Amino acid sequence: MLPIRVIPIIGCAIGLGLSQPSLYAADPAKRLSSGNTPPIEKQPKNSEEKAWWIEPLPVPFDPELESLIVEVQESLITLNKQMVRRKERLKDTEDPSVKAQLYEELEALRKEQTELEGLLHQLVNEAKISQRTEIDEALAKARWLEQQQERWYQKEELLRDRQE
Amino acid sequence: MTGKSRSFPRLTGYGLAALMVLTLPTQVLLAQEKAQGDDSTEGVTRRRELPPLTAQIPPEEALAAIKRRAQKILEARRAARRLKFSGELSTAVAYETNPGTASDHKGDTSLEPNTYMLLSKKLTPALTWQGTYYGTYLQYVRYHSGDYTDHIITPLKLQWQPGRVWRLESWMDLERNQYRDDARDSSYKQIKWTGRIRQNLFKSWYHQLQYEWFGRDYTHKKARDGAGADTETYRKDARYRFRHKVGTTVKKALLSVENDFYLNESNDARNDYYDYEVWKINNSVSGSLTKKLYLSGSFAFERKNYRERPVSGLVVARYDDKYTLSSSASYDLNKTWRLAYGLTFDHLGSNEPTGEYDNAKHSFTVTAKF
Repeated sequence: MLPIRVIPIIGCAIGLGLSQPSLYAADPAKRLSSGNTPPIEKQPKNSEEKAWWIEPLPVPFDPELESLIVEVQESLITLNKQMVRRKERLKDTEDPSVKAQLYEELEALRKEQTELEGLLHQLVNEAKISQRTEIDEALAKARWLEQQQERWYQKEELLRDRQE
Repeated sequence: MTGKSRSFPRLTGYGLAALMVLTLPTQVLLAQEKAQGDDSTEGVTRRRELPPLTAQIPPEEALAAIKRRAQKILEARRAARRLKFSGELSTAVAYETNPGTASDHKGDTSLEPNTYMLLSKKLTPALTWQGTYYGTYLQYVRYHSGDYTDHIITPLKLQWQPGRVWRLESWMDLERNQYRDDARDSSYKQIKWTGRIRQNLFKSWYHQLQYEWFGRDYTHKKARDGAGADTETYRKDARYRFRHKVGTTVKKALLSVENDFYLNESNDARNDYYDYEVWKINNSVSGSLTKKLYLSGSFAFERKNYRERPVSGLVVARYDDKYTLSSSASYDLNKTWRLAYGLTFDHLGSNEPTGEYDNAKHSFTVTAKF
């Protein structure tokens, strides 16, 4: 039987564990580097990624950019399949001219893959840059009113100054 | 703002076209491979000869289409970082019960057209430059001593946003305020520098530290000596201000508490009339009730301790306690037009009875954004 003090701790641990996927789901960089998707160059890890528990909640990402990232990923998957097929053919064939053609195609595909991965990397960076938090949004909305109050205060202060 | 929203519908069109280019060859390619070379038995694929893949459907074409589309998106994003221009034109009609902040209440109506213009450019992905102009003209129906024009130019504002957590801002304001002839002693020119650092914390919290300094030159008012006679120099004030703010969002509401402290120093030597320190606390709540309706409310208390300015007939220095209650509602009619109503109530209590006053202000503002 577990001591009664341990149960809340386990509960918290489970809670934290459950909350992590949703945090990763909000971050395309983390999503891209997991699952069946082709690996992309590793993002430089900063302290924010490590300290996920203090990370502010982002507002929804740019949907257009997100969908493009997914499409480019799918294109990379297709590209990989094409490369795998050619490699299979290479194993099966003995014809030197066919082999030469396959190597040529593979090289071209590899080059394209590198370029496409570079683009994907840039798109992911764009998505990261465009991140804003809920707090940013809320403060931006309140700024207009704040400025109004500041001006009102400044005017009132000048008038008070006149009183001797 | 506009660059992004304008470019995406176009990109969606390009995207669909590119997607068709991409998906068609891939499907055909797969179909050909199956038809031409497959000798499949229970999942094991054997091909006797290689189909002429590149001869019929060059994969380069499909890949080029993908790349073209990605490049277009990236170019659009970069374009959105180019120099942007936006602004607002607005007019406020207000009624104040005591615009002169005097003990005797004489209510008056005012009209205040103003304009705000903003130029901004992302210098790097994390660094943004802004330049702004704000101009206003306030005119009362009867209380003309309160009429003024005000121009504020902010040529240099830099915002650094390295991630989700830190926000660093710094800017400089140049201001010229001009009162009418019968109240021109209040006119001034001012330079102000502000530095602000914010940390977004714990998913939905933030705290912010701000420092402000300004130097204000009164353009018509002479500084006085200790005996109260005008000197040859004009009055000059300097202010040093520290503000700390902490807040959080609860659902769609933003709750904040700000503590504020500043020192004002002046070259006017007459009982150090304009030398004082101020402590202020401001509590505010604001948020969207619906997509178009935004509400806010705040309560502030301020203590102003004059360094020397004596209370009439006494030897003690004056102090003022000010209470401000304000609320507002703004409604976005559409992307261009916004209506707002505001109510502010001030009460000033003091150990100098002649300085006490109340003032309530109702204002109605129409704003056009561009």
